[in-house]
Amino acid sequence: MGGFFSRIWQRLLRRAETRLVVLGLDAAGKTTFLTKLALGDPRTVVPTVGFNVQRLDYKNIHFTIWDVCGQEKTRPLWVLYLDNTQAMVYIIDSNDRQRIDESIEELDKIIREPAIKGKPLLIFCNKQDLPNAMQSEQISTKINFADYKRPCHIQPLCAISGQGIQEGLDWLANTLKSSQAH
Amino acid sequence: MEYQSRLNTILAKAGNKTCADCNGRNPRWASISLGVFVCIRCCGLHRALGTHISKMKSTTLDKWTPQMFIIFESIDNDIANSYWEANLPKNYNKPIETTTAYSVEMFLRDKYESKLWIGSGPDPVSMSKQPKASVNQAKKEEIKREEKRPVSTGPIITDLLADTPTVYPQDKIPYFPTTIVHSHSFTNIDHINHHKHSSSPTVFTPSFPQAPVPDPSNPQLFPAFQNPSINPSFPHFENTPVLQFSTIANNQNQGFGSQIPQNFGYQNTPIPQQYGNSGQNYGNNNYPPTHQTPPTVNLQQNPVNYNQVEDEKNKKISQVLSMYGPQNNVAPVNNNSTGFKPLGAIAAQNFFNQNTRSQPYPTF
Repeated sequence: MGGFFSRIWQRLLRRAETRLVVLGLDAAGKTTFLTKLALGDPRTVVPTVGFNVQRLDYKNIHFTIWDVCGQEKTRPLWVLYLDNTQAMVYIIDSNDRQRIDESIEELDKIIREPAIKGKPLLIFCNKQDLPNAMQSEQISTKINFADYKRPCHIQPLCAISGQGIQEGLDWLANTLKSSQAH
Repeated sequence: MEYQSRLNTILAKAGNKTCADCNGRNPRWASISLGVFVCIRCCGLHRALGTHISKMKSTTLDKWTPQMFIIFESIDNDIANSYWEANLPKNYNKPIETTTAYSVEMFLRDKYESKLWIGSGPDPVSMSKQPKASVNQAKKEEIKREEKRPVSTGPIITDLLADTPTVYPQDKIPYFPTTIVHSHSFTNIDHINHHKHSSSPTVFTPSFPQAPVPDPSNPQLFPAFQNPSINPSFPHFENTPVLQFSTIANNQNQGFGSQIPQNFGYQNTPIPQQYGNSGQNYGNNNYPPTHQTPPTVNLQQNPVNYNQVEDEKNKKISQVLSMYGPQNNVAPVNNNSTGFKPLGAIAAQNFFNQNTRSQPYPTF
């Protein structure tokens, strides 16, 4: 009898399992973003060689977040992390103006992968606190969202202070819930 | 394979064996904007500075462009550090592998963001674009400069607090106008407290009263005025401990590492009588300006003849006073060598005399 009720209870409060992949160029702030999410306190991180994984509950969604090394030679390996993912987070270093175009080229390449066809895309414009940072509106003009054919959202972010994380994740959670309802 | 062999020759240079910032072994990350090889921990801290200061590339995980090869084939960590740490004090404790990340980050911000210790030549990345002969020339100059660099003997903290003596030649004593009348209020006590707390016990801090200066923002005119902790303006009352000093400027021993004299304290210290009765000339100010910062003297190495010191001081005071016209009363010589008079007592008394009313309460 108890097992019966607990099964109903579990079914009512079922958590959606979601796999997220965080991509971006090197030194964009992917590991800092993940550290801020997981530990709530950004600490000095070392360059990722390989990947980091964290689990996180947010708005009744169970996120498993993969943070992948973004150095030039390891970018071909990004494809291997895309299997079975529900959404993709792409982080751009908006202070590094010389490499913003390179970053968007890499995004254009990876977005064509069939494994993430139609999956929501969240773009974080990180390092908005720095004086030389490009505004997220300015970056969004460089991105051709019409070609992506998926729900997209661009969000300014300061990963160290955490400003913008909640807005981005709120959008992601709402989008995922609405897509699973259909 | 040419790519890999070129990279290996760069990494095999003698200067590139250790991290440029923390002396860690086998650095594999390069900052292409600063021209240094660092370890992976320092790479993370370089990234935290921002890409406008340091752009990091890995030797193994990034594809190197020809420009990066050109930069790093002409320089190594030693040449780069001879620019970035040209004026680093020799006894500065550079971070090592076991230093905490926070203190390394503070060091990096001083070194690369504030550029506290840079040399005068071109920075290593722009130097690498010049022909090779000029690079060698620049390196030789750096080595020469390194030999000339003064060696400090004391702890670092005294560098900041110790005052450096400025001795003006007799014909070039700066002119202090007498027309500016500044009234001292008790807010100056803040300066005194600051002075008391900031001076470390090993620092031998003088306590002269100060004259108004027309342009205090001009550091060449009056360097001590810039730092209130060195030379706080007026009054030192009875509670303030009086520190004895001398005016003998010994060029060899000036600077760091001043020490506490043997007879430190109140008793039996001959105090130069510097408050001449010159109220007629100074308006409300009853003390003359001092024209130079009293230097620190290492008393253990050079025992000071206090009588000589006093004579010199009185001579100099009379020199300064003579700039303001004829003096009726030159600063009197203190004959009472055993008597105790705290510095500033007369000035404090005059201050009180001016400000005390004849009747303590108003009558109606």
